[in-house]
Amino acid sequence: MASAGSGDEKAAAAAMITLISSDNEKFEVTEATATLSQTIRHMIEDGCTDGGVPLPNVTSKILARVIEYCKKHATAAAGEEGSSSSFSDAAFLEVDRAFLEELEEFDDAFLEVDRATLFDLILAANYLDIKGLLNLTCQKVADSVKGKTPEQIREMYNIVNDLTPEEEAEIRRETQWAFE
Amino acid sequence: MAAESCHPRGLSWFARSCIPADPARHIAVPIPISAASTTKPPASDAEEESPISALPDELLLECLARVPRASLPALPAVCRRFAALLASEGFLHLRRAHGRLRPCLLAVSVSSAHFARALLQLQLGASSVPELDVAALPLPSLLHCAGSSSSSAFAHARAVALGRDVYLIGRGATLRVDALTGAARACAPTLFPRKKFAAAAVGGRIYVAGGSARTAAVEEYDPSVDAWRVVAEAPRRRYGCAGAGAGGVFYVAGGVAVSSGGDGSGGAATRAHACAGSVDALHVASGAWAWSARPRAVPGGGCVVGACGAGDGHLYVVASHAVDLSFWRWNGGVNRGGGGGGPCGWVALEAPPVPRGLVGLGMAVRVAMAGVGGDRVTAVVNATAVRGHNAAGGGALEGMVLVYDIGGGKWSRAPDLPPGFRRAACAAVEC
Repeated sequence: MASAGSGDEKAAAAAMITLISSDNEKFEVTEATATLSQTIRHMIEDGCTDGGVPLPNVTSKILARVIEYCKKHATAAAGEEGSSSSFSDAAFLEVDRAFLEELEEFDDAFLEVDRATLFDLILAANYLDIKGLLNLTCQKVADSVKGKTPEQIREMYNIVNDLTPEEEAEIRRETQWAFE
Repeated sequence: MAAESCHPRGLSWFARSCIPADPARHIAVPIPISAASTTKPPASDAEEESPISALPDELLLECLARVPRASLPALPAVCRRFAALLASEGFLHLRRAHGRLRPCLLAVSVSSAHFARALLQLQLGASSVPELDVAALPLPSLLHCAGSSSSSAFAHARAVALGRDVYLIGRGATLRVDALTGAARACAPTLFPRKKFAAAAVGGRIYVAGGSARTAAVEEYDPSVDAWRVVAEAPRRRYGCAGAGAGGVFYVAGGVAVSSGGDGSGGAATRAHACAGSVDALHVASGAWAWSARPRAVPGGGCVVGACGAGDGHLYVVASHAVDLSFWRWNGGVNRGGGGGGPCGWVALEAPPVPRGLVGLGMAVRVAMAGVGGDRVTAVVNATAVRGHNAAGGGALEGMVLVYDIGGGKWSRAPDLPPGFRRAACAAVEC
């Protein structure tokens, strides 16, 4: 049973998909990697992937990063399935934990990018409908404003303050306690 | 029709290979048309302008909705877009979807120079300890303009939650506090100055009654226009009463009768008791009182010391007796005339577990209640010795928080509110 299941998985994983970035670069990925994107999953299900999948909203630089993320997390998903179908004894739990830690480390390292890249990753994750990547990148932006003043946030993201002095004074009066 | 939807020019890359397949499914595939690819700055230079402005609102909202609550207050002052997104319904929905909104009890206490906010997390994870977050907030300067001093204005204030906003209604002054950001703003005061009155939310509006010998008017507050208006005359003038809203009904419970001294008939004591142990009910849609001739009395002869409505559409009441408290639910709304018979009427529930000796002769008990969704009721119990009496038991009780699980029919104790919140007005919010 178990060996048959993993055999099928291997067969599915062996199927390759070609992704084409906006600057016409081609990336060959396994179906397991590509289907982390719900957008691509639907296209595969509908048989729309012959001759490659053009992704006109994603540059090759960003697509390479997205694929890096998907590869890592696709392996993680496969690993999880494998362990849950077998007896989950202590050894397997130990392996799982080590794997999750490794995945967290990967995510942390993955997010070490400049802000422009981070926003491009958010756009790509949304466009490709990759829940995990969207969550990861949006959380990174959210964490970056933690404990910051409005000035620091503006400076960090080059945001132009379009509030009139009166409006800003009123908002600050309302939340005055937060800035003391 | 369906085939055409596959053809727009922007999607030609997509349509080329998908027409033979079932076209209906493609409509469901999200294809955000993003302006990002055209406005993208050269990514090689980290010093370049940050493309946060290129993020569509929905994605910026995804980021902002994940910001920890403690860091939210700074965000509206960043720019207009941030302020608008933070105030939007979408922000609330997204935060709820991400599990970042949990039911809380918000207690607001006002003193001469500041107001303090205590936030008690009611829903706990498996391992987390109850979280109590207390912040002292300076009063908005707008309030200092109000005639009376703010401390006396809010000495017996009532708190009513409308969505994410908690309205702190005092005597001649009203304060709106955004439970999420803590932003506080002065709002229109009630038309008649009131103290120790009944207040509750029904259908997105606030209703107040009682707390004044000069008027029997029931006032309604519409938050969209920030204005009060008189909508009904109460059958009794109650002072020290509690308000509750449930199932489209505004309940006014307990308190003592105060009158402008019109009728001399009937002893004052009789009238006082008729108020203390009874409930009036205003159906807000029709503006009619359900049983104006004779108020519904809580069984057992107790005095109502706390009341609230819950999301299950029922009224919950705590009554004080000689030596203990009782807890009741009013079943059947206001439509049925008969007091007894059938499932309609008062249902006795488990009494709040208050330490013995703290309720009884010589003790004044006040219970600030709030319904948390449709499944829980919170009660903040305060008991103080009445002047001239010695406390029977272990002295005063301050800010004891009890939580009643409606489904399980059991009370449990939550962490006490911190000192200084004895007279705090309480409301249940998602935060």
